[in-house]
This record gives sequence, structure tokens and C-alpha cells, in this order.
Amino acid sequence: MSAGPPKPPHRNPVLERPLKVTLSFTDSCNLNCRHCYADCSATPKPDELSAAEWCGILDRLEADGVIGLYIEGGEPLHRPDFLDVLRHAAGRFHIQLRTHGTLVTPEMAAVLRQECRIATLLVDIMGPDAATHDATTGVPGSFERATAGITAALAAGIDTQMLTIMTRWNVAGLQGWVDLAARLGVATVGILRPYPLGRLKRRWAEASLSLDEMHAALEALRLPPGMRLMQSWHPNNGNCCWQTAAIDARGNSIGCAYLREYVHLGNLREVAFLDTWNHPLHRELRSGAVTEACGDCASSQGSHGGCRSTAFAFHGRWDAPDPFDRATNNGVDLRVLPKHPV
Amino acid sequence: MFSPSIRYSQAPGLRLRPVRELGVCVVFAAEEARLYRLNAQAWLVLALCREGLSGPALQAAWREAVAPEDAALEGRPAECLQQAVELLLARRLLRQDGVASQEALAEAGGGDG
Ligand code: SF4
Ligand code: SF4
Repeated sequence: MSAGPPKPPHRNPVLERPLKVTLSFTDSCNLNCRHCYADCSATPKPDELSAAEWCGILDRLEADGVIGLYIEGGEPLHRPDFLDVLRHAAGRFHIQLRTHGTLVTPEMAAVLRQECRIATLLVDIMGPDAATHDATTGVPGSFERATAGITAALAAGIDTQMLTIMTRWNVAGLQGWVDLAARLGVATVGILRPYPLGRLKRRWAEASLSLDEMHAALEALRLPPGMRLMQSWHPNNGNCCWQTAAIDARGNSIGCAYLREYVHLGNLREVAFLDTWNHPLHRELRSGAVTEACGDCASSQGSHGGCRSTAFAFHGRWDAPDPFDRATNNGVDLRVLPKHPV
Repeated sequence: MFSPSIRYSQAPGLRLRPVRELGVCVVFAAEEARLYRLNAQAWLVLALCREGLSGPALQAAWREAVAPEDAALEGRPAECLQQAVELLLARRLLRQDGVASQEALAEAGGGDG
């Protein structure tokens, strides 16, 4: 007799202290993407944490038991003092670095590998060709430089993965994007859901697809042998809230980089990181206390609840179902972003 | 296995992060820039070998640390020790060195001065 579909856990695993933290190192960048979640500017804002402040935070995170860093921006490599901070973290943390790749020259790749000892480089490529990618970044030549960056990183022996955000602007080119990854020698690719944040929020109606269109695009993909695809839709709904923590460029503890516009748990210039981890809202976000969750995704991931960022964006409640999952979409049209007070 | 002439010790450059609430230990191996998640048995072996132990000393320390009726070991504590050691060796988190050759090296080094 079948036991029936697995039931989602009522609560997520409880972590007393964080294992991994995302650092949104800067809100500056040399590109100008029309979807930029961080709404980046060409120069860092004056209130961003200094390199010395970041190093102090790293020491604190290590003492608090953090073992993994996911560093993104903006574009971290755009800030001249970033390598000082990265060297400070080298050998102490497992480091994943997200970049747009245009600043990864062969010399930089050697530094990242040998001195900074990063584990993984994740490079955003927004389409299969220069026409699509450069139209997104607003900078002609960025595709050529980004793909050269991937080649340099692979040649330096860095585990290099390619990421993209699925939008109406690039969905027709997703197979070409996969084929590009294969030509470059990238073995792991990630297709990410779009988040209504920053500039993409302002162009949401133009950029977003329906959930059916997103799934159809994923299902049509043909992966070359040996390539691994990471994607954040059913049955891999992003159930990562239970272990997440993030710090933005000004030192705000924000729970997750995708919660940057909704959550402020305290500024690390004034409060201790662990106090923000124990903030009641952060505890609630990690708990999996939601009104509906997807059983299939829970059984594949050992946690449940779906993404709190997209749930909040579409429903304005922390315990709402995640509309990016088929099981909990409940008829929400992802192309229409409701207005919620934040 | 577990010969007195073999010494087991943690590989250099490991950072162990126990996650007691989940019953696992996450290990960062700096040399390879990799993270591993160890179950309780492998975690125990790695902790016991922090300073280095001979095979029989590891067996004795393991016996002392695990209760014979520990349900997680399914009544096979010796097999579980062996499995944990093999897993750690395969992941290069544990080193096994010949005691005899170490002594020979020490003696050779002692002759330098
Ligand atoms: S590359 Fe990234 S950080 Fe830079 S503008 Fe584009 S989205 Fe923003
Ligand atoms: S808000 Fe979404 S992306 Fe962020 S940790 Fe939660 S599930 Fe993951």
C-alpha cells in the first residue's frame, strides 16, 4: 500500500548560529543592467562599509561559526579594495564569488585562485550572444569580456559556473545560452527566477513571464551530457530560508540578499551580528511557518516554505505561499506585480 | 586495518564547525577549498584524531566514546568505525602515516646537527 505523497515538515531545521552568510559587498558596478536588483551606480556610495570594517565583520563571523561566504554585489571586483577583504577571508571560509566576469582577466583569475583561494566563481551571462547580453547590461563589449573572464577562470583551475536570470528578454535564447556554456567548458549552470527588486521591479510588466512560460522554457531545454542545471522552480523551490543570512554594503543585516528591500534586522556598526540572527523576524523567516508549502519540494530539500522574498512580493505577508511554485501558485499571474506597502 | 604501526591524524588546514542541533559537523578543507558534511560517526573519528592516534588507540578511544547500544551504529560499532575511517581517508580529511617511517625520518633528521 502506498504511503501517499510525503508530507512537508511542519517546521524547518533550526540552526542556533548561521553556517553561511551572503555579503553584498558593494552597490557599485561598471555595468548598468536594466534588471539590476541592487540599482547599482558607477561609484560606491559613501556610506558603504570600508575594507577595514568588512575585515572586522569577517573576524566576527568566523568567531560566530560561519564557515561559508557567498559574496556578490553589485560587482565586488569593481571596488578597488575588494581583494584586501577577500585575502582576509582566504583559507578561513569556503568562498563563492558572484561576478559579471568582465574584470576577470587571466591575472585576476590567478589571484582569485592562488591568493584568495575561492571555491567557486559564478558568472552572470544574460543571454546566448553579445546582442542579448549587451542589451541587458547596457555596455557594448561586456559579453566578450565576460566570456573571456569565464575562459580565464577555467584556465586558472577555478570551479566556474554560469548563471542567468530568466526574463522575457532572454527566454528565447536559453537553449543557445546552455550551448554557449558547453562551448566554454562550463559544467554547471544555474537559471534563476526573477525577483521584483531594484530596476527589475520598475520594469516587471515588460520582463516577467507567466509561471507556465517559465516551466515551458525549462522543460524545453536539452542539456549536453555531463552538464548540471541548477534551477529554483518546482521541485527545487528555493527553500533555503532556514539557513540564510545576509549583510548589505552598508552593514545592514537583511536576512537574504533577495529580502534587501523588505528586511532590516539591524546595522552591524551598531549591533552584533548574532543579535540580528536572533531577531524575531529573522527567526520567523527561517522557521518555515507558512500557510501552504509544496510537499514535493520539501521532500527534495529537507526544508519547506518556498521563497519568502517572492511570497512577500506577491502577497505582502511573511507566511504567504510562494507563487513561483506550481503547488502553491493559486492562480497568481506572475506578470502582474501587486502593490504592497513595505 | 588499525595496526599499531599506522598513525591517524587530521589533515592540515581543516576547520571543523559542529552543528550539534542537526547532529552533523561541517568541515572546511582549506587546501581544496571544499566543504564536507560529516555524520556523527565520521565527526567523532575526526575529533578523536585531532592530535593523532595509532590504530589501536583509535579503536580504544572509539569504544570508550560510543555506547555499545548506540542505535545509530545498528549494533556494529567496529564496522562503523572502519566505515567512518574509510570515508575520511577517501575525502582526504584524515591522514594515515606509518609510525615506523616517521621514527626513521625523525632519526634521520636528528643526525643533521
Ligand atoms: S552586473 Fe550585476 S551588479 Fe552590475 S549592474 Fe548588472 S546586475 Fe547590477
Ligand atoms: S528569501 Fe528566497 S532566496 Fe532568500 S533565503 Fe529565502 S528562499 Fe532563499
